[in-house]
Amino acid sequence: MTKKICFMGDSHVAALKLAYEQLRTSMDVPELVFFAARLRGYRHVRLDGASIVPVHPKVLADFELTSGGQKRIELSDYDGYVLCGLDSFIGKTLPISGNYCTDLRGPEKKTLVSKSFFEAMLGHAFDQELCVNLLKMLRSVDAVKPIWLIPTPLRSQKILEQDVFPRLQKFAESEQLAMQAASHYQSALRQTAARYSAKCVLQPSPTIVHSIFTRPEFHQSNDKNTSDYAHMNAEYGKIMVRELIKEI
Amino acid sequence: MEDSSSPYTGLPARQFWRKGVSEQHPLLVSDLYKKKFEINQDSAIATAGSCFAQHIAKNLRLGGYKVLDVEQCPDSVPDEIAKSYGYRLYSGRYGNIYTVRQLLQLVKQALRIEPPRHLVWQRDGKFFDALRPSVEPNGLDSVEEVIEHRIEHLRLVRKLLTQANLMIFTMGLTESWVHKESGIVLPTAPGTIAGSYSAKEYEFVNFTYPEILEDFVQVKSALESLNPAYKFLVTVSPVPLTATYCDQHVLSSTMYSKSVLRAVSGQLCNEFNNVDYFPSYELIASHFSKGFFYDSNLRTVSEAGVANVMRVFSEQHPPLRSADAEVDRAPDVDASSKLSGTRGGKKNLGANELVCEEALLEAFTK
Repeated sequence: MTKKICFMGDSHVAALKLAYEQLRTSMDVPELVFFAARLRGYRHVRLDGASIVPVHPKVLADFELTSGGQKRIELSDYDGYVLCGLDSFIGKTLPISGNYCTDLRGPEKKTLVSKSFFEAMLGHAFDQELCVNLLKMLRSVDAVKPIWLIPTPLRSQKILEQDVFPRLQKFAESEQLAMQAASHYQSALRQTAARYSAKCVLQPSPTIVHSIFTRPEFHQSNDKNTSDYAHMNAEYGKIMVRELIKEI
Repeated sequence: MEDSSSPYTGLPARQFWRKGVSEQHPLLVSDLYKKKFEINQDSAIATAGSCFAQHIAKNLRLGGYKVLDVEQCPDSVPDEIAKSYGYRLYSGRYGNIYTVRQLLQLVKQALRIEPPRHLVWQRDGKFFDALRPSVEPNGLDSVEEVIEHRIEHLRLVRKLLTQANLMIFTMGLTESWVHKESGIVLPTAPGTIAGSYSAKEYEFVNFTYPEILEDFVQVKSALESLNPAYKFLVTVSPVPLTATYCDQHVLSSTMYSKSVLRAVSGQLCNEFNNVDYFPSYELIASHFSKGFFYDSNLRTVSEAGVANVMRVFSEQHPPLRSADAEVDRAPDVDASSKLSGTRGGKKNLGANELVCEEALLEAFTK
């Protein structure tokens, strides 16, 4: 029997939805029902028994648009849940990678912390973010059903063409720093997912360049004047959906 | 010629027990504290002391005061985790400083008046800084690592003491333990968090009024040598002793200890223009409050107690900003100041939402 999966997330769901529509015609895929809400719309949902309901008209409208008219998520209707984006992006761990160290012998001046605290910082980097709020919500209703966390895509490498993200520059200039940052990010995601018995579906390496950027060919926008380096295209979505399906 | 009236005639109501106490409610009492000096936006505050000092630091921060913190961790770390590692408690990660001798020891080492002395404890194969064993709950991997962390900590405390111009210190205890060989004064008894007790290595000390007074005067002199305009606000923790090593009832030890600390702080306040005393101890621990501000263990101070202390404090040092002015860290679906993965900021308000909306529309309306 085809599994029915509830797919929740922010606007990063879009790339995966486009890919899913293309892939489902040619391969056996589970049924995905999407409930996306723009920006931090998932801040405006609450539990109503075993349902997630929007409490903001814009979120309600987004739910209806993305799910085919449904106004609430009946959690018992699904065999598992996917959380996509929801502030699980590397920007949450870069300050940790960039500003803290566990010994002072490195070339950069950073704040010294113990290994134990460094791990704790990473493990709780997403605690105040929407993805963890939603994980908590889901686990309060169901402790067993599988949950997969698809992190927010790494920013497109095109971001470096614009001089607007100076904090990224030092990572862009050092492969070693970038690798370290990527490793910290992945550790943070895995720790977060594990705490809620969820599984993290990391961004596949063919889509990644310089450890912490998405390859420019997967960037959604070809507009040179864009300030959006976050959203990816359907090609990216296809790779990601295939990874997800392997896990499901 | 003699005055016919009593010297008490015409004194303010707060100086009379009936009007100042009997006819007052602890939650409403006013005029309990008269500030000696202003605390304002130019005050760079360093906080330290026993655990009650944490409440004062937190509330001052909320009130918009510049409470220094030289050992910060990212905002993303939950309070519970941060505090268990000694972050967000005081202006540095020195943990609780219960005795004035402990404070003096820290100040002298940080300012290099005396060389750093290290004492490393062990527990379950891990290593702990005996001078602040609570700040690393899981310990460190080696003695060398403990020393490296301590030296870095002292560097940051030096920075703190240099930047600050007001120290708020809460005196907690007179009883303490000393490492005989090094003379190091400890925040906790050996064997409590780590290490192990041996009468050969450690001795108990109950600091006296003259010793505590002298210690504080030394702290004051050391900080005034950095900045002659340094000010001090002292309080006495109303939290009783968990245990006493003196051969007497813990209640007697508590009353003795707090009385000595109260007397020292009174003397400091009377003697020096730049030392003020804030009576949080009286408000919580005196029979005026009938124990109402303690939790059921009659030891820890309730939220209501802390709130009442801060109410009295705020009468003289009002918040510089309202608590409502705290920045809402979570941007909204309407106030889209932060977009997941795209650049935020006011100029992008609206544009961010548009980008997200377009992405969804493109995917879901095809």
